[in-house]
Amino acid sequence: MSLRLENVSKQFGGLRAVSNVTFCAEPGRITGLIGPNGAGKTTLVNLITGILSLTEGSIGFGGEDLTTMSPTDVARRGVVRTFQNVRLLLDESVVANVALGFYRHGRSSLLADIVGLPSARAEIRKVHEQAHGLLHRFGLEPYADTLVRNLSYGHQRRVEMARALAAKPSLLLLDEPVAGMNDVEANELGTIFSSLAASGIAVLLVEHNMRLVSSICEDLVVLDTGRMIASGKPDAVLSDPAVVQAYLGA
Amino acid sequence: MLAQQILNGIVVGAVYSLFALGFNLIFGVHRILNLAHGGVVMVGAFAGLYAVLAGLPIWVAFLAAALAAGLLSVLIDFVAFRPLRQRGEMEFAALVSSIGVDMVLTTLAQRWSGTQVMRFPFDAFPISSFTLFGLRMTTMQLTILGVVLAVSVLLVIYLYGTSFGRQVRAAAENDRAARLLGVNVTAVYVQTFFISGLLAGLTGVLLGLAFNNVYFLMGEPLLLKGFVVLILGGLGSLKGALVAGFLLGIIQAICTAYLPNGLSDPVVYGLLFVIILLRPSGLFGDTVRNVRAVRQ
Amino acid sequence: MMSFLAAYHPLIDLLLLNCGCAFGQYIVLRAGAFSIANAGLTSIGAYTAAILATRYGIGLGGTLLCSTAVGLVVAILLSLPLARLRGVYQAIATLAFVQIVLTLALYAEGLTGGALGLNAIPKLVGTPTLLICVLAVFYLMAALDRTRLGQAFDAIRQDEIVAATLGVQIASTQVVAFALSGAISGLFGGLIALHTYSIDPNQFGFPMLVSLLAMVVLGGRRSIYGPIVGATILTLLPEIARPLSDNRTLVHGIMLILIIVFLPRGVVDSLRGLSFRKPRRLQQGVASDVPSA
Repeated sequence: MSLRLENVSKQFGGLRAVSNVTFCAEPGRITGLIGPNGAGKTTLVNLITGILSLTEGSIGFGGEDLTTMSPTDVARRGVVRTFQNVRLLLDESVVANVALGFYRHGRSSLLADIVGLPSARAEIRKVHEQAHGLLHRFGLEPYADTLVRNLSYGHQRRVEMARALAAKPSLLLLDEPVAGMNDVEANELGTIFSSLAASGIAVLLVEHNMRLVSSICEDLVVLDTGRMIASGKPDAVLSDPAVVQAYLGA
Repeated sequence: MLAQQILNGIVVGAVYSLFALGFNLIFGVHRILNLAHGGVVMVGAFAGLYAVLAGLPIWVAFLAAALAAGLLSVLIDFVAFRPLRQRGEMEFAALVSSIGVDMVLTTLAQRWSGTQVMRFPFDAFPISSFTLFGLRMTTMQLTILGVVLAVSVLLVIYLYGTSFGRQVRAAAENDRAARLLGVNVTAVYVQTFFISGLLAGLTGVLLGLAFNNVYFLMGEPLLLKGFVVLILGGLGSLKGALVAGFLLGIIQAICTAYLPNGLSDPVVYGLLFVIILLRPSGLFGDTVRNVRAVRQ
Repeated sequence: MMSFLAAYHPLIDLLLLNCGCAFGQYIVLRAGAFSIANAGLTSIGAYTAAILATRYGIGLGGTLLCSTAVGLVVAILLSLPLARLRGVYQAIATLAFVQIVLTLALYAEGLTGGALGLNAIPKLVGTPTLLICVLAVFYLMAALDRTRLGQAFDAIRQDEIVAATLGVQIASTQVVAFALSGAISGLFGGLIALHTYSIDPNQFGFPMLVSLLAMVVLGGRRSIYGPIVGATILTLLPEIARPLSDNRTLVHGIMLILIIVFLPRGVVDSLRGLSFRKPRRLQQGVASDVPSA
């Protein structure tokens, strides 16, 4: 399923944070969203996931209109995100945080949950097992029972990523997922992103790391002060004078 | 007859307004639901009472009450709210902590006053009545209206006419951004809590004089009536607090006139639920901010 | 052993009642709802039980079932406008709810006996019944602790935005929490009435609200042992240190401030944080461990 933004705008008081942005993120590809600080990238992610309301324009995903949906409803359509400043449940263990990612796929009925029927509890056990599998993939296995608040920032990032994958997204929004990581770690994650895209989901990658962006993105969208100044293939976009100007001139 | 009731209701409403202004100033700027505000009012009333009993003139009593309550309010911020800042779940923590403060204030006052209802000496405030458009009005009522209107005007001038006020409004808009812009956020907290306390102190003395009693639990019913005002006017809205205070006074006067004795309070509190159900943002509040998990 | 039980019998009963009421408060707070309606819900349960038992001679089972059901229904009605609103609204409205229940109980003298309350309620409840009820509630809490519902509660309490972006339905989850809270409070209100011969409106007022809140905040809002620990400490403390019992309300007030400032997660949840295995290699000194600005 593809994500379509049409003329999306967001006004904060006197500030137009996002202005007439139109683009598509296709399934099976990584679409890079780049731009200098304050360009409106995170605002755009918040608009897509239902945390902020649009001033103008519309957002569609698959055949559905997300424009006015609540964050919960957006999430239930398979739109999953990570946050720029990692947001986890600090008082829960690593495995419990990842298990929360499976929430939207849960099958147990409310009544079974309330009286704690064995079936409802078995489901959570199964979810924890699956979560362990993801922990293994991200090298977090030794920390499974550690409270997230006792974890280093780098590991918290990975927990958030594992949680996002646990939700089995159809559209994955990554808000600066490799910020603060070294090249080896960034490339490691980059490989994971590529394989996710290859499995048929749409990935929107907000990132500053140009090397990563140019190596794994099939499409690029460049924002500057809320406006879209370029879009297309990475090579073409990155040599566009307006883009060079935005990055070097600022 | 009804007109007379409504006039009396407006005067009571003015006191509600004054209370709600102080409460909403804190909530509007810092998002702290200060449930100890009723306790601060009570302490103000006691401060005013003791000033009068010490032989001081009534205007000094007003001043003493306002000052005492203002300082107490700043102290509460330091003890109960300041340590909670920059922590998750601030709203819940502040709520719990303010309930604790209210409990401490009322228990101490109960000890201090020996659970007695105390009264201002009857000559503390010169009361004479006059007739205006066929309605009887006392100098007491006139004073209440005068104080509330004067305070509202001063508050507007402070918030919209001074550089302090601009800083307060900037902090209300966005704490962190204000900090980056060089606003001294600590000074803002001290100011808002002090002003909120001043208003509470005045509320306390006016209330004590008007109903001629000062007792340790006097803040509790006021806090509850204050809630109805806050919800009716919109949480965090000063304009709403002012208008809704008067409105509640009138509604209550009409309820008292037409409903059996003892049923007026449940009806007024019930009103709170009706408003929450139909229009949670009240008359002047900000709708989206109040509903969770929706687009903001 | 028998003499020990006899001497401390009233205290044990009080402790069990407090534990049950604390669970009613716990379940809403765990779900991130700022409801402090429990004193009111308990009051409704108590009056329901007292009226049914004294006027209509209904037996223990039927009475408690009705108390529970009434608490449940009232809590659901209360939650419908509140669950979709922010916490501060829930706090204000539920505090007002407690007051409404109190004023109505004072007003409706024919039904509730007004300020004098209801007396000569048959004592149908002893320690065994109380113990069974507390255990039943504890089992329920332990059971839902390990289901999707418990998962949703913890997510909403800690970060609403995260919960929503993972598909948790916040409003309906909180309606469930309110409902459970209402049922538990109703049940224990009924038990209070059938245990203590007489009830009056003021025993379900602000002081009860504060002590329930203090128990849960002290014990912790996450672990199912939290309310038990909180209730035990606050019930036994005044018995151990006599001077404290004269200042019970003052102690509760100061406790609330101190706990929320110094031990915001409560006793049990803070201990749980310590007992959790620390990561073996916390700092590896790689670039990924440096927090970005």
